[in-house]
Amino acid sequence: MNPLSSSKLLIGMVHVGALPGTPRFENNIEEVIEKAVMEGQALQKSGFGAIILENMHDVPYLRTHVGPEITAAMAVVSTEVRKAVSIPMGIQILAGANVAALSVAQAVGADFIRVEGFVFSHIADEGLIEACAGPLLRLRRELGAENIKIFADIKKKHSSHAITSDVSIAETAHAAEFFGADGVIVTGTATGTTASAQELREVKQSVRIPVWIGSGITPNNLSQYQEADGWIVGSSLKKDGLWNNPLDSSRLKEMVEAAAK
Amino acid sequence: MLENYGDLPFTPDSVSEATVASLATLAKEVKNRFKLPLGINVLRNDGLSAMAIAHAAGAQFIRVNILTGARLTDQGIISGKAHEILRFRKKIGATAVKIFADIAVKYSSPLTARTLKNEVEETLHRSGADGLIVSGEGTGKPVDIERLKEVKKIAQKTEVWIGSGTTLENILELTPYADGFIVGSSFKSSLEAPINSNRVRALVKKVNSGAKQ
Repeated sequence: MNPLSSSKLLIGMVHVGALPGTPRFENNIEEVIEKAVMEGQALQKSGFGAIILENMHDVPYLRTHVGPEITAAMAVVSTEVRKAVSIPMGIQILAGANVAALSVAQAVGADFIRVEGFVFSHIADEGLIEACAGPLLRLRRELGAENIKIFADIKKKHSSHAITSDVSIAETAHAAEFFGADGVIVTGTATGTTASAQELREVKQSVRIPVWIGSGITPNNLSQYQEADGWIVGSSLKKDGLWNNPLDSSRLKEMVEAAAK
Repeated sequence: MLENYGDLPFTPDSVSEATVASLATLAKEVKNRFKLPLGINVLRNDGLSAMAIAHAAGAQFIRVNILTGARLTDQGIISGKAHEILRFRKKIGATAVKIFADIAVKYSSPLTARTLKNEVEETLHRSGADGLIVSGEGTGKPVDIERLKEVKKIAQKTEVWIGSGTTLENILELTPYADGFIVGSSFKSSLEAPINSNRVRALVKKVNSGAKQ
């Protein structure tokens, strides 16, 4: 069975340090690699079932197209993490740079990508993000990368969804499944904020593919999201629960224990 | 030097993100295994991607077939992007990565009548190349020694490398005028064949014997 379809999957975020050309890049790619490898290993060792590498420190994000400097740097970082970590690995390139993420995933042998803007459209903090399912799945086929699974955000955090206010989250999830997503991700309104347990229930009832929670999970509230197939965790694993702080090993342990209950 | 030679027919300008990601992965793995300086060439003329990959993987230089001006190539008309590549190098913090530019690159024709002197001077002084590459008419074709001499004379202290056709037979004739040799086909029985290590050893031995004379 595909490990990504298993239930109670705990997915840890590796927030990759600022990459070349972005405002916070510190001119040392080797350090960025080393830190990502260490975090990936720490998550695996603590008992996480999967990881996602994300260029989180590249704020402010570009919309949909990042340059070759990001694609190349993410490929290099992911190459090293892939060798150091054996659990399933996903790639996300912000913001909505899904072609770059798929390309990197294929080059390094990653297992899935997290995709923003798979179906419908929304206004993200980067601007208008439009559906990409059609071209993305054609590209996946063209590259012979059908083994790479697509986990699609629906009604994603950091975004306004007024433009689709007449479409429920359950309908959005259904559309994503119809368009070939391998899983969908339900989030709160921002990194670290909680998703709605009610929305999770509605989404679970509308699709047969795995449903993951994509923000705001803590050891204390995880039990409210037991119906989810997986929980993506980032900020709450960090010192003081802040995404840009280093990993806190006691928080990793608490999270794994909470997920196992 | 790592080059996407297997990707023919080549893309004239920007290659796909899949190519960038794959080459970056390969470059990193090669760099991990070998201490020698590494160069990246993204065919046919994607100096920006080459720069991005070199920087990410810790490579030392890139090769750019057409850095400045425009030429008629087997991929159509290609214009140099020196202005973008040098700005990009600065923007991503890759100023340690050197740019080696071809002069009148193989598999292309000039669009206008230009003197070799003009081309060399512009490539060096107006386009910021760190080194030059002189090649023959195609992969494996020897360089014209008179052209090489002229380029080296203008380039003075700037490094000039030979970009094609260096063999065991002609290398000693070229060494007085060249600072480096990019060798590929003469190490192989055919372009698809693996590198023959005996041929590599023989060429290295020959260069070393020449240097001692």
